[in-house]
Amino acid sequence: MGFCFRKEHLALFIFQVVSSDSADRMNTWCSFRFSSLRIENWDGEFTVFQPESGKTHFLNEMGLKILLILDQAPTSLEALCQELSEYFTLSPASAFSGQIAKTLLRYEALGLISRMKENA
Amino acid sequence: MRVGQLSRDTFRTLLTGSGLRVKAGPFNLSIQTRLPHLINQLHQMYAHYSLVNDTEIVEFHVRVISRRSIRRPFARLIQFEVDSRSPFPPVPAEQALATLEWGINLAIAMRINHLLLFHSAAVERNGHVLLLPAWPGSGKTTLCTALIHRDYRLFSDEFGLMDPQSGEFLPLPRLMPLKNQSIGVIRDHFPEAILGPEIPGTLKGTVAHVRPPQESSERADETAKPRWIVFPKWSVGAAVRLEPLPRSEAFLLLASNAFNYEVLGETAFGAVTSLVRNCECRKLVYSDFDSALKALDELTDG
Amino acid sequence: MVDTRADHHRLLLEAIVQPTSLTGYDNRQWELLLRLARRARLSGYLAAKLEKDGLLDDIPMRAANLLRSSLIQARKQQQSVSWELNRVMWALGEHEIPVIVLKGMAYLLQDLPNAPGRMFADLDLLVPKEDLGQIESSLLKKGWRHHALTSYDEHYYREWSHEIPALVHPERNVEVDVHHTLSSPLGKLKINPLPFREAAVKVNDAGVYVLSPEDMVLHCAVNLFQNNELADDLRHLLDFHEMMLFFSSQQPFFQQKLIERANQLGLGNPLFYSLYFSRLLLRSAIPEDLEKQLDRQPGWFAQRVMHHCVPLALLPQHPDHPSRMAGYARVWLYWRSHWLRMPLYRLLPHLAYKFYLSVFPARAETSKQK
Repeated sequence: MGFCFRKEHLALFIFQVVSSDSADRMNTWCSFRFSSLRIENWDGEFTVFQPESGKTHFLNEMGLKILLILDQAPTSLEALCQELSEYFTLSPASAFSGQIAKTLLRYEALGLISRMKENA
Repeated sequence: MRVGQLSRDTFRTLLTGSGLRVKAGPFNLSIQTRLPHLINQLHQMYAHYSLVNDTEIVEFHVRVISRRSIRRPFARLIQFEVDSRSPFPPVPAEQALATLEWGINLAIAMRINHLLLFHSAAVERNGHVLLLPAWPGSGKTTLCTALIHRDYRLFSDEFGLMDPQSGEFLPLPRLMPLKNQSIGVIRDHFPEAILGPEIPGTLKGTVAHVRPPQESSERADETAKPRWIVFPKWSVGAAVRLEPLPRSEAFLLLASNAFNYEVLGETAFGAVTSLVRNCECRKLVYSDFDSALKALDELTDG
Repeated sequence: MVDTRADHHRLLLEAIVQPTSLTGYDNRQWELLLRLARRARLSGYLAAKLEKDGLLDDIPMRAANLLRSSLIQARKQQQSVSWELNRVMWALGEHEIPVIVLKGMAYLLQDLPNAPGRMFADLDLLVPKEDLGQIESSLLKKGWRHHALTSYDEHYYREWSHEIPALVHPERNVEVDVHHTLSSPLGKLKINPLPFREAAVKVNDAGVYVLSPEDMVLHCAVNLFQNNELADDLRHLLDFHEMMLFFSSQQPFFQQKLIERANQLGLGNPLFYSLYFSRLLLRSAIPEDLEKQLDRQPGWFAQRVMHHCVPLALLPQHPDHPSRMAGYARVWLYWRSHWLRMPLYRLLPHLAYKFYLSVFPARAETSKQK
């Protein structure tokens, strides 16, 4: 019945941690099949239908911006945080990077993005 | 021809024989039982239902039958069956009408996917549908019962049936189960309502069913487009408030409210998007019917 | 071949074997057929066939609505299981364990003719026994959980059956069954999984495999006549029938290879029955006596008993007039399937316990909570 959705998605950041891996700085991330997503704008909040999984996601502006940035080019966590801070004119708190890292892990578990390991 | 036009004997013959075949909105039902008290109750409560003849297809074949229990050999138990499958455990015989109605709900919810099914009351006024989604504390059935004894045509107290392509809602007028205190409240405020027997001891407490008004059964083929979505919340002593609801929140609530949202995938996403964009979305807080009805009248007059 | 089957059986079989004939059915026939197809879990299959031939608008609207509803549900199930496979492979990513997909999902991966509209809700995987622990822990780490089981059921699974308890991810609720063999290790028919793994066919670069065509057909036969109870299992015979037709048309000597493979692996008995009943009930284009080339065949008496019992079990009962004969046949086959899967000294206590639970279902709940 219905779909699995958490009200916390309405808040600014997505906090759910899925695994004990860390999204360490060696990884770059890119969006997976971004062009297949159906996105509807509700005054700055977004409903997103993901055809591969059949799931509906609920994103705020920053959540969607992450997917957009990662669709343009593979991006590391550091570069992503940089770009987000500039776009949203934030002075990054020390916890910002950690929160974005958790979001990336969540997106990865949902199949919205995939990680591309850099070869050392 | 309607059930109420059948003699009691003919009615009994159908139910105990090959089945009573009746229309329920867009679906046809076949009902069989040998239980005398249930037969009597159905003759009264299904009086306005149209009969369906043998040459039409019936989609749901249901029965209520007696059951014996190894553990409780002297208890009078009965059980609901749809196509000889029993989705519920046996219950005391007095609960036959309640288990029949809930069983039909379940069968519809499990089989129907060409329509989007909202867990919702739906009523029509001024040619458009007002949708009242269920959520905890909503009291949707009680509010729906109140509305249809005023100016509103009953579509359903349980299922908002929507065609995802056209966006239209389809009526499914059936018995409306009131629970516990709401039974007394409706009796007091709407003495014209026809209520079935009070059935104590069900999983949801004491239940009594309201018969759908004749007009709603007669006009069961008249669909309508939705225009208002109101999330009701009954709150003791609260002053009536009809507030706008952000559309994003309405989408979230409706998507989790629909029984088969996920099953319909992208079709459902598109249909709920259109629905929310095309309707006025409100939240209604109320504690008495008169002010709630007044607020809804104002909304649906506009 | 004398056709003594009941009318409702003929109604369903005719619809399956020749879906185009459905446009000629009247409402009475449709009403019964819809109920039978639902019981047999073939509504999606029929809907897909009619849709493919553009016939869904040529049948009564109520029938079309119900069939469409089933097709929508089947497609959703298929998508859910496909996505589950995607997520499992992601979770196992760095370990590079070859995973063989079985049953419904395999038919979908290979785009077989029995795949459209087919209902399946679980993901069945075959993996090397030595990798089971690693797989289980990887999935648990990435969010999967074990299906809630009583300690009895868990013991049954781990030790007596051939599966670890099913894994489910709470956000998706698709059951993932990870097998290391294809039949019960304690049962009469010992099936070594190694030849199956060695012959497996690669599907993509993610480490996903399926069984070879002969093995896929054999596995279907083993499930039908070895693992399952056969009740309402017509759709699995239909899988067999469709695959025989398809692979025979694709490869000139497929049937010969199938027989040789069955002989090589000692799987003559289940294949014998599958060929026999596929021809009997579904009019499969299988040469008469093909099954006589099998080294292992059931005895004459067993064949006669099965000839009478199997159709009564495979074909759904009439929803309003169940037959007592069919009831007996199903009970007999239920016992047979358990007897094949478990030695008697384990079987009797197991069945007694299951009967006890059916009378006192609350006990199952309380022992789950412990």
